[in-house]
Amino acid sequence: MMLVKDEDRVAAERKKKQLLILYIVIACVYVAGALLLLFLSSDSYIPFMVGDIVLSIAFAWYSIFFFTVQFDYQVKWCRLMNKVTGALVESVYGVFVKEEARKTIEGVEMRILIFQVRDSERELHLLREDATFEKGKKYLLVTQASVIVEIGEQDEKKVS
Amino acid sequence: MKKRFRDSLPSEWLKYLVVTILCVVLWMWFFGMYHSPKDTEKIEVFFAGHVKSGNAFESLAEKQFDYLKSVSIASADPARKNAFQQKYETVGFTMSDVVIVPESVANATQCETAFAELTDMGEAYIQNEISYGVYIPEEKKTWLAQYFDFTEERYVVFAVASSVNSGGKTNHSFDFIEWIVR
Repeated sequence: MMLVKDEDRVAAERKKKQLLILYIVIACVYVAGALLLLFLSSDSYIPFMVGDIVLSIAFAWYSIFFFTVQFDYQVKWCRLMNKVTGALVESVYGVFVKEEARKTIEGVEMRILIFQVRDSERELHLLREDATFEKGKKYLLVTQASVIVEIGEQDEKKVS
Repeated sequence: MKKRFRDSLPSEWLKYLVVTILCVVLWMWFFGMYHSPKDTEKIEVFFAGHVKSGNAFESLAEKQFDYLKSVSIASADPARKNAFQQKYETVGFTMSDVVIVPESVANATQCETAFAELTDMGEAYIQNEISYGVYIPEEKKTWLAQYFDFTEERYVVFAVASSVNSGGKTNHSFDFIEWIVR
């Protein structure tokens, strides 16, 4: 079962561009709205000023959220996708031992799985939430940059 | 996303607070500047003496003229010689539209360099054979005494030559003086 595909990387890049375009559109709408309120204001300008203040606070808060959370996360996700899909492919058989507490690696939260590979325990990372593993079962693990990208056949003989 | 936002709050709350304050302050300043009266929409009066408290005169003057959005009064006490002279020359001659001074102060002023010619307004104040100001009539002085402290016998009103309202862009200074003295 493929867990990470190149299409995921392409989709991540596309989403990053879409987010940026969305922000620019919202910024243009904000500027237009703010200027409209200013130029429409009369000598009794308090309601227009309050409108501009509210609009500006909303846009400023959205901007902070966008650049520190939403877009920032997407950038990190893209970076991780590029790193994973560009890394050397490794195929190993491993017996699933346990799942540990999640870690944030390069800005992205990942599931941490411990597999017994040959004589040692190895920590591998998983991006998908829906993949499940049975304790003690052997899996063919295809990894790139220590991230499980594919779970293959469990029977060694079937792998050529 | 909600979780990531909540997780970011402990480190980012100050930014949210600062931008909120900045938005309020900047827009208040911007609207104030945008809607501030133009030079031709306001009259600034310099009075040599003490102005009685409250803004009664300013409010009354603003109602008299449709085009006036603001009337303000600066004052300085002639008894405080050095401080008065400095304020008279900086505020009175360059930042005001109309100047009201006692006759003694007018006599010590070079009207040619400071004030515009004023004619047909009433009893003229003449210096070097040119009418630069007009005396405030006694009955008008009594009316104005509710707003200004008149400590000397006679007072003169002038239109500041450098003002845009003294014939430059408008004649609002002259209209204002006419309202005071007639």
